[in-house]
Amino acid sequence: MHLVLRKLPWLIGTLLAVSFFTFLLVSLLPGDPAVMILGAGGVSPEAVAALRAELGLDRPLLVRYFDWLGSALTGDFGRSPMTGQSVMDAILSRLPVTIQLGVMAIIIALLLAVPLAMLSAYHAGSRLDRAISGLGFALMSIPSFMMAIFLILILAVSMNLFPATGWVPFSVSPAANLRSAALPALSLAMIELALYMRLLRTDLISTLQQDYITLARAKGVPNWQIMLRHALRPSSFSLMTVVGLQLGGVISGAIIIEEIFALPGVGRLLYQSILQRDLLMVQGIVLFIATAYVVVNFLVDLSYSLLDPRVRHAD
Amino acid sequence: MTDSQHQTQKLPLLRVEDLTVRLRGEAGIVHAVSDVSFQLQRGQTLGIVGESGSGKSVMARALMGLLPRRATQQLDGRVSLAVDGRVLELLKLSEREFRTLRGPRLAMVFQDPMTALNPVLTLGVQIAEPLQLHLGLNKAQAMARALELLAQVGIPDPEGRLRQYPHQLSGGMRQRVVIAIALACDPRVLLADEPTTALDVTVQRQVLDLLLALQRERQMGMVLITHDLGVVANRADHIAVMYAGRIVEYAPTSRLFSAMRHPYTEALFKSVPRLSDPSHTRLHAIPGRPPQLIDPAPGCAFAPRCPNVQQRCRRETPALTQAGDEHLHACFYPIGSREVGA
Ligand SMILES: Nc1ncnc2c1ncn2[C@@H]1O[C@H](COP(=O)(O)OP(=O)(O)O)[C@@H](O)[C@H]1O
Ligand code: SF4
Ligand SMILES: [Mg+2]
Repeated sequence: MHLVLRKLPWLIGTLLAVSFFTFLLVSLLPGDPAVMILGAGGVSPEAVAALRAELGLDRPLLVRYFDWLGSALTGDFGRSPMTGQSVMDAILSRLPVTIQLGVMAIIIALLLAVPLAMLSAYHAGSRLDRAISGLGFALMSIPSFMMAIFLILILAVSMNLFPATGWVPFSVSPAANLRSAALPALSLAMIELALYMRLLRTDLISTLQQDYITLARAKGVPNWQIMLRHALRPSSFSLMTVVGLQLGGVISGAIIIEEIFALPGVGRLLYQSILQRDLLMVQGIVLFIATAYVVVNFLVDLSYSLLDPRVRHAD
Repeated sequence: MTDSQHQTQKLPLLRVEDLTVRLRGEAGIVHAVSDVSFQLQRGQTLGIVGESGSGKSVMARALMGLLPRRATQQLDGRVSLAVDGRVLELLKLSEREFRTLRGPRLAMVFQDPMTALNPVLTLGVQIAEPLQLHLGLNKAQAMARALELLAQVGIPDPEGRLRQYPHQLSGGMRQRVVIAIALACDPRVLLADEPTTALDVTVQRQVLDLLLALQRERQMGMVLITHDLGVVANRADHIAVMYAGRIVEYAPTSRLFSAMRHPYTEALFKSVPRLSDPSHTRLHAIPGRPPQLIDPAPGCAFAPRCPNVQQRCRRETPALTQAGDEHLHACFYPIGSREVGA
């Protein structure tokens, strides 16, 4: 509890800074939103001025920021001038898809990375270790859209195991939902997998040299139990940090993946809003993603205390 | 020691013959342990003394079957452990067979209690683990036994400690926990590798006395490794002095102190701080540095630092030879011999 209170001011400060920069970013983009909305050619200056007043663009920057922040705090990011849809509603309706994709990708990546990293670290320097590391490098150097296309070609087109595109909501059919999410999640997972594997392998190797591992061996603990019980947890701090960071990060990965697989997620919404220059929508999504990122990080920070008793007792 | 003597003595608990260990280090092959032989009787303590880098820890790890697998270039000799009316040849065991001995037959206390305990597991879990593994106790039984062990090693408020983590204890208390872990399955041989080197001076004596008391009570054979002759002076039954991976002198403790023969033993002896010394007396640090164990030069390894050194020492390596009952040394011109200074 102490820990939460100590970190809270940092959280609030970060969120304020994030929101301000998001706001600034979009406000400082070249081009007048009013002109963009009305269309460039042949619009009277009066019409532009009227729309600017309506949108509140004629007021000072800081005033507009606090105004925007105030509404944002109540969950009101405004309405898209293009579609008339509430930005918040648009995000919320697409969020489950993206979250499901991200969580599935991370779970798949962890399920594969943890055993592979343990195998690699236990046999560090062996041919098996080099093969696993090589696989990791290969995966990391393949961009996710290429991976997506490979997977579609192999698993969807050739083997017909999964649908190539499209999305079935969980509420319609859980099984079909998982099938429709499988390929995009796998595409996202492959890159995460390589990263997780490398991190965990490095940390495991240094943990395995610790005296307490030798002591565990001196107790007669079998090797697999040493890996699982004695080495894994003290080696997973950097992995946890990165998994936390990647919870935010997969959203950016999802932008392309959702587009390729035609999934109705936040990533695709952002992509399309950028194409349509729907600034209010872009602003809302960026703030939303940034906030999610910061909050997740905060939670990851707190979760250290579960992994590491030294942090728990640091007060 | 000759064969006839082996036969007249009762079967030793642990017998080490010509143990040789070479490790692949970054700079080359390290001749960490060379032709080390000794034996240990039940209920006895053997002190092994030598400067840092003389191969003591590598020797202990070899006896525990804990040498780094990939770095071990050579592991030769014989290590025989007499348990349950059988004699086991430890170096011939598979890793799986050896594992079942670690804990209930052989146990080890490590040098640095600050790093020897797993930071993310409670003390209770760490002590209970070998009990569940080797003695087949269930979790509750193992915890109950862990509690007794904590009390036996002199930890106050043992109930509260079971749920604590290593970082919540002082160094001395942590070393007591390490000892409790080592003793958990009632081992026959205890290897204590510099068990007090990392501790405060005031705590050192307490921990040593505890180790010795537990050793006597359980009639274990103990190998007490140290760089400080003072630590083993009135605790060990026998002392083996190690230099550059070899035993250079071996004798019953009282005999070693009354009639030491090897110049290195004497140098070690002079470097021991004594309480009777005026507080600012300078210690006789041994001049020079211990030798590199990579590509050792021929001849006596102590030659570059030895006050008795002669031509022969640089050409030939002295073998361990008998110098009286149970007294061995490896020196061409030992202390008290006529040729010295000639
Ligand atoms: N894992 C290892 N790989 C290579 N060389 C090692 C390893 N462990 C110890 N050594 C070397 O073996 C020699 C003996 O070391 P050690 O047994 O630790 O000495 P001591 O315990 O007497 O201080 C040293 O030269 C040391 O550098
Ligand atoms: S053999 Fe020679 S160099 Fe070696 S200890 Fe004896 S006297 Fe010194
Ligand atoms: Mg050592």
